[in-house]
Amino acid sequence: MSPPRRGCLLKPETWPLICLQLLDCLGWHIFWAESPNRNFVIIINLTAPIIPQVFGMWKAASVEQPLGKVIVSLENVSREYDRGKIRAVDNICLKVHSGEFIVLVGTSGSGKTTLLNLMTGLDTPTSGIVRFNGATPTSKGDWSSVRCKHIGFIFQSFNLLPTLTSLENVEIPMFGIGLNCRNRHQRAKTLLQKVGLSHRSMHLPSQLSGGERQRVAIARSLANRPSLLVADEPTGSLDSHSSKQIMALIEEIHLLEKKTLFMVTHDQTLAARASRVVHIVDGRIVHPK
Amino acid sequence: MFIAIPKRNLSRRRMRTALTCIGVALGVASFIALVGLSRGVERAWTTGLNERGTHVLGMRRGAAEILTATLDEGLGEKISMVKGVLAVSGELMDLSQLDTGSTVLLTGWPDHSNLWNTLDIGTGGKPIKLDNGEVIVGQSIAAAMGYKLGQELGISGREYRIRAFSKSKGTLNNNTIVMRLDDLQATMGKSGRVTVFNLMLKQIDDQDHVAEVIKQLNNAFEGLIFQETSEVAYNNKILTLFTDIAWGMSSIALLICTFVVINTLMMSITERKREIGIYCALGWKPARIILMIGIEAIIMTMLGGIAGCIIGGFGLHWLVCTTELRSYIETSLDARLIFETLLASVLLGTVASLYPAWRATQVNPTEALRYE
Repeated sequence: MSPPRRGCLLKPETWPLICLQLLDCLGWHIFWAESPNRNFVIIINLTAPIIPQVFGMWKAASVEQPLGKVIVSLENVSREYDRGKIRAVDNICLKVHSGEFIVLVGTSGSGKTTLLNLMTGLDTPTSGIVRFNGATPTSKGDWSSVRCKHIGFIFQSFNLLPTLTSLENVEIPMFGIGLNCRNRHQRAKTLLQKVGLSHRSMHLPSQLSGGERQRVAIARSLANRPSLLVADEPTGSLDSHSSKQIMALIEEIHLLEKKTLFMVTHDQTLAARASRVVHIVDGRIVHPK
Repeated sequence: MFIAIPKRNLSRRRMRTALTCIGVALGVASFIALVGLSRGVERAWTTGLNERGTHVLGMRRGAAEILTATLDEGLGEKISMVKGVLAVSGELMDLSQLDTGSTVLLTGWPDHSNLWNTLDIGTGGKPIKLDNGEVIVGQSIAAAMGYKLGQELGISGREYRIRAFSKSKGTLNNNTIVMRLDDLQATMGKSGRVTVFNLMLKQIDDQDHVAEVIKQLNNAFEGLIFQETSEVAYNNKILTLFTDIAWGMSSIALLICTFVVINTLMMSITERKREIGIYCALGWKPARIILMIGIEAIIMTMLGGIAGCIIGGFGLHWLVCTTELRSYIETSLDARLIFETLLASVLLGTVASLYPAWRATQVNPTEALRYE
């Protein structure tokens, strides 16, 4: 029996799955897949960390999907430091399509994080153009809006605000989209439930384990329903068990919520699970797959 | 929740926040005390004049201080001839030291003056006629010195007998000793001289009429200046100088507070560079970061402002009650001054937050996220 491939919710015969998606919104962890003979396999997951790993294995063997629209486009982008003595990113051209799972692989100091910062507007290129959804944000304010509405960040060191509870940390990005207090609160609760941390909502980051902190960070990255999830070595500060759980959760979100995922890592095993791997060496892309 | 973020940022460094608030509180307290004192003097003068039914006061033109200027007593009759003037009363005033060492305000009125009718001496509004060597003592002095009716009082080397005690609403009048004009002129060696003329007008409710009469008076008497009672304290050069000094010193205190707050915010921003980078990465616009820093500053200055109002209020009360200032100052801390102080605190916080907030928006998120 060949491995099942990823299904599509838009197919008319998959309407029961829409109901399951609704249940998912209520906090049930439901995974589904479609076998080659078009029979659906539905798994209701009450123990969140286990099934996504199984799902990840299926995903690894999944069939390539057609490319969606371009979300981020880098055109001959370079970033120099120290008056051109250091070229962190050298004349890079890259397009990130909707629905892709791209892994950026490279050794330390190869320019992975710089490239990520450039494509999210956290840094400004020395030369070249960065487009987001076809537009070219220029000012700080423009990029703030883009990051607020379209980009979710997951950092290696979690970057949670130490004085705020998990729930409040998840609420932080929502200030930019004009949600009222009640809706913000409700949405943050739902997201924490989604990452399996509803019981930790009133805890400060210092009271959480590394894995739990990263789950809060993942919930925060989803706060404004971004189209692009950017993860900068999300498992870099975690032990192997927590790393697996976090990766499974990120992949689950990528697949179920149709998020474009751009992940920076130097872990080749993680790269194997991506739909596209981009290798960067000394600031240049050397092996786009 | 947005307010909760600056609140928690401040509570993270409780001691530093508390010390900054104390600094602001002391600055605000000095503002309250000094401005309160200057306003208290103004109010005491205005209340004192209003109580005596004076509508317009005639003073020597160009005199820096009313008490030091003298006018010819005979001018009173000419002033009373001006159309619209109901009554005129010359008044001689002087600050003098009693034999006990206390400084009091002495005032002398002519026998026929309508001012005698305004004194409340417990006779049911019936005017009193003083004999030579008799005085009426304000109740505050009487209470402070423990004077009794009929007691002899030494003023500038002459003996006076206390005929009655007067009761007034105004602090100044309660701390004044009233005597016959002749007596005071003789005591002070200012025979035939008065300090001011108290004028009562016929149609006081008609502002145009009042302005017209004042204009006529100012034209008719070149050496004199006539002003409405409410403007006298405001235009008095000594009081203005006192007010200016009070404002100047208060401003310096508030300026120091501003720098204290700026210093605290700058330290806080340096410590929280990474957090500010996180806010940037999560899509917070510079305006929201400015607002967050501004709220932190305003919380500190408001807390300091409230504490300062309390400390300043008690300080002012203590200052006035325990020193000779009590004779010349209305001590009440009015709502206007408190409102102005709190407004000044908010303004101070806003101004103090501008530079640190701007600096916060200049934080490079990529550097900040690397910052440990």
